[in-house]
Amino acid sequence: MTGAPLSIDEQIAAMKATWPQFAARRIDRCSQAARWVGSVRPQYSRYVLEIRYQVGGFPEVRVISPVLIRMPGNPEGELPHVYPPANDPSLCLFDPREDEWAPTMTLASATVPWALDWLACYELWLMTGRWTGGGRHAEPSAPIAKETTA
Amino acid sequence: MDDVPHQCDFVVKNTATLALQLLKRFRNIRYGAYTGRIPPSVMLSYYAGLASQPNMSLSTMLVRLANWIIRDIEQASLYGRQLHVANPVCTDDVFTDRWPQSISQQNEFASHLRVLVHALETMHKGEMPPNDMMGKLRENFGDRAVTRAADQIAAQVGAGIQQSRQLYSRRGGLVWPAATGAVSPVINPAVSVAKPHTFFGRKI
Repeated sequence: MTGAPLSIDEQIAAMKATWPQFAARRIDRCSQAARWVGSVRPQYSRYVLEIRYQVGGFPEVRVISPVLIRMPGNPEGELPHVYPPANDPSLCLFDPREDEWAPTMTLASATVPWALDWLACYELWLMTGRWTGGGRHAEPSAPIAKETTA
Repeated sequence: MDDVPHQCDFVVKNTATLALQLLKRFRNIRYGAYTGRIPPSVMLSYYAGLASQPNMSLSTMLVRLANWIIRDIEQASLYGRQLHVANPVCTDDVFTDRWPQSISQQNEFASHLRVLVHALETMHKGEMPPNDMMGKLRENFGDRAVTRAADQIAAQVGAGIQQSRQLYSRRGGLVWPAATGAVSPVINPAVSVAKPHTFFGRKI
């Protein structure tokens, strides 16, 4: 995808216009980084999400509350489609090798709906034991390009 | 010959009928090991007709239906009477002629219904984790029906997500496909759809 990366102020404006329940915090214009915290309820339960982003990096999304439920012995793993560490996982919402995320995109139009997709799949996974939203897992031993702002 | 009565709106009938089916399932499970008479289907159908209202979700309709029955039982018990429900167009046709046989029998049914209402309201408020919710739904409506319904929902939502056509409201709520005819993302900015993406990462 071509074009200039969106600035952190542009990301903040898009988030405010689209998802006003996500409050921007820790805005750092020098390093072009920010953190948003907001509450959503895609289906059955309410979740507080945290989104961290630094322009040029990958958005990082965590569920702050409630604690994500694990299902030991499930074929998809105890908790599917996340990045370690296990005690503080972040959601893996896209395949970094498929160029699905670009800094010309807004978090509001991509990251938040992706996180809602993840939560919808997570709840249905808890209910049925099956992850029906597709995707793929990295091989356990293979290094993966983590979506991180660092 | 009498004219055929005007039929109620399909949506109204459909949700109320589904709520009635769930209530019958609930009754059958609660009274599965019971040897005496149980709350009659015709009485439950009567209340489903009373509770029927358009634009109501299934869970809200079921709570409304159960609460209606609870209120009538409480009222009857308060005055030391057994619940009396008759056919509204033929009052000699009494739906409760065989059940309840005592006030304690009707109070027992009301008590079962209160537990159901509490569980449904807890789910509605989002105060029950989805896996606990499944356990509670199976307990109330039966394993096979609940499992099948959840599998269907999972397949439907999962397919929508994989094809990037799952819609969300601006408050982050999933918009069901049935409603999408009226709320396309182009004409209604209050709805958001995810761009194509692939879930990745680890199993932990």
